[in-house]
Amino acid sequence: MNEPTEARLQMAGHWLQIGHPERTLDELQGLWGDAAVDFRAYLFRGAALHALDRNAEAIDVLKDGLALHGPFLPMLQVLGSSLRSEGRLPEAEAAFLQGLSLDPNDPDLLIGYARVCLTAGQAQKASALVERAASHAPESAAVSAARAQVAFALGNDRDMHRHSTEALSHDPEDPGARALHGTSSMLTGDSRSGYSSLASAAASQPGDPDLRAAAREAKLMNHPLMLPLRPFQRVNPLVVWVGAVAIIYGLRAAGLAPLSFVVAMVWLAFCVYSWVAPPLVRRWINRKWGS
Amino acid sequence: MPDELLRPTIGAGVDMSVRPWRLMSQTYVAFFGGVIASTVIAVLNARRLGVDTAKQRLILGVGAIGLIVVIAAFAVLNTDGDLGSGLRVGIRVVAVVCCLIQLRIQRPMDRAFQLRGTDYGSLWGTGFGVTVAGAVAEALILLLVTVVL
Repeated sequence: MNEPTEARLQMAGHWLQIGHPERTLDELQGLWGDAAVDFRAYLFRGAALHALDRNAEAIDVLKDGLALHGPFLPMLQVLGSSLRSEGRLPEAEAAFLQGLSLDPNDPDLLIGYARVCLTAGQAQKASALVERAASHAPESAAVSAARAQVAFALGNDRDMHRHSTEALSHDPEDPGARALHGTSSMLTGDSRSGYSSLASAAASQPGDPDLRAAAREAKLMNHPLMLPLRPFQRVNPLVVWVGAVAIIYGLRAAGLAPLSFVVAMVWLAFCVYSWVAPPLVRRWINRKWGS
Repeated sequence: MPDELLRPTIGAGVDMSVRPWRLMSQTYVAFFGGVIASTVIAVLNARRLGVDTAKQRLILGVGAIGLIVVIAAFAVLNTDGDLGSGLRVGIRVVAVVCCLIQLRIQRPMDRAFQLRGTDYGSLWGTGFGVTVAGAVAEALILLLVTVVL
């Protein structure tokens, strides 16, 4: 392979690494001859298409690459992730298992397979896979992030917060780790750090509307007017309602009708506040944010 | 020795275009529509989430028990033919408790859905329809109970 072609391939890999998949595709477009069918060309093109959420195309490219070059772990890894994103879970599982049959202890493949299991609702198996990955790469940000996702799937919000904090300590700039940390902070009732993490994640990924919406919601919960409503974030409002009904009717049954009336009125005021305050604060924040 | 962890366990894919509803949105249906409405929405959503059939039956079972409790409470406590406020609130509490259990059953698959990073669907249209239909159905059943008793 001549030097300019090699430089072009390396440049394509570099763009991918620093988060510019569209430039990777531009770079690969100019390849011809042997370079165009180099295994890296298939891998980078597949990974770039996957990063751009063009998963159906990524799958075709990677399958062609694998057919030409034989099983190659990074290509199987990206193929599995693309198939998962398309919802083709049995095929995604087969891709990861093919990779793991070649190296049963590859942490990236184990975590990739764990994500497929999470998507299928098999959180316990995902947890076991992530722990196996952790035994081979204990200090990895990817392991901490995967542990946080497993904890989220299992409904262990505090564990999720702990693992996402770990992931953030490995790489404070990583938008994925910040988004996980922000989500877990909101779930555990810490809307202040939830907002700061989600806002920085949204700022570094301006094309992601979900992150932007999550950051706005966090900003809303952070507002002083929302302080009385924060318990609703952690406790289901229906549980609070059942509690209020129990107190009101309990007091009445105990012969404390006036007190029951006072509690009922406070509860009513609280309900009205919970309906009126969020839309008003949301409108005010949206006006300030310029949309 | 074969590695148990690396054996295929995933039977079916998921349709990424299906949009389930937020669990919290279902609570409004339960609160205003009652136990029948709550169960209908929970079963429909469980299907969208890909909850396995045994758990879908569990959701239906919880709804059936809730409905029996509502009818029994109504038959025992409704003596003068007029719904007292205590009984009305009691019926709503039963619906809410059923809904909480039904949400709990859906939660693992809801979390799996959230990890996919796709959007929820809007419950406004279906939710409103099911709330009204569920409330009417429950009222008719209770009316039937009054007539029979």
